[in-house]
Amino acid sequence: MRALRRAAAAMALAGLVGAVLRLRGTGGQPPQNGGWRELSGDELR
Amino acid sequence: MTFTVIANERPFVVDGLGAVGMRVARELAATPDIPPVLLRSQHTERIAVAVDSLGDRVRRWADEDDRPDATVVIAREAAAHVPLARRHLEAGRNVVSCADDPDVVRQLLDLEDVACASESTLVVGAAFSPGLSCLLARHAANALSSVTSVRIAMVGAGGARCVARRAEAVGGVAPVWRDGAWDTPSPGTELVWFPDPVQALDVGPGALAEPLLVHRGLPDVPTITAFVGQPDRSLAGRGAVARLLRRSHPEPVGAVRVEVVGERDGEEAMVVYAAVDRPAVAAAAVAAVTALNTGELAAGVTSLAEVSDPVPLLRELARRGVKAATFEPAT
Repeated sequence: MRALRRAAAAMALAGLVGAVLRLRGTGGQPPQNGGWRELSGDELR
Repeated sequence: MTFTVIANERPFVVDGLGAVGMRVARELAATPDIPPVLLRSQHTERIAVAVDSLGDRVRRWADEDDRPDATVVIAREAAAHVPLARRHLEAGRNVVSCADDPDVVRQLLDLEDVACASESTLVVGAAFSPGLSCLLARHAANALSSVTSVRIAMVGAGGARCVARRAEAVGGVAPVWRDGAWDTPSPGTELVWFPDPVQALDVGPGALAEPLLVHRGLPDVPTITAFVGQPDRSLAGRGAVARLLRRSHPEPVGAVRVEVVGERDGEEAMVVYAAVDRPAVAAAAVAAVTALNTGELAAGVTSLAEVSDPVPLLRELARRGVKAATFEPAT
């Protein structure tokens, strides 16, 4: 019975950690250099 | 399908005067060489507000305006789009729908036979997202020789109904096109980098219509996915819509971002376009400019991802203040 409770607690904790990680996202690759530039000129011809 | 941005003498009707519809009326009213814009709304006081604001460039729709050569922009609640579009198409009118709900979009796409039978055109998803997102996806794809994936992300919402719809989208799921088949989107969120002032935001799968629409325009692209983000936590949880509408500024800035990967000159290449604007403002400009060009389109149902050359449309949108940007890596 104790082992069952421990397993349930461990699963709950794992679920909580997973939920936090999901909320925080998986990161993504931030642009290291460069930037946004308005489309103009030849790009709109 | 190509667009040439011209006005014409066909009457234009705006059906629905919410945050988007009112601005569609304003955009059309500001267009020279078209007759006064006809307004329909269940809320008669909104028609009065529009007439007060826009003067003789708009007027209330009347029974004698029931002409088959009109172009109708539907900016009503989601449930109204399909029956209204069907009715207008059967009467021979061209229709531009701002609907963004994937289920509604799918039903609108099914009106192909109705549109063809009456030799009318229905443009589906002519708003901010979908709409501007589809144009940018097409424009980016045109810059490559082949495309392997289209990845669209959006944040933001316009008026009250749009806020409610976007809250549904954040919590909902719509199919994505992956490896040449419709699939369930992968769970989880990831960080996406939008232009200022939106910047980096977590986005995740949501009930977005872009995969449906972009796949029509780019049927050979193996993977088309779409992600939605929450610009702030007021869009989350019970009572979110009411909380957002109570804020002093009910319409925060939104953004669409399109990342297209493929090949150019035999090498792997990526084109990233984005636009930041108030969603209802940009949606209205897209709907209005699309409406001004429906006379140029073939009969049937189409989306803005099917515009073979989106440049004239993007140029006209830029002239009206809806400007796109590209991410340019430093060399």
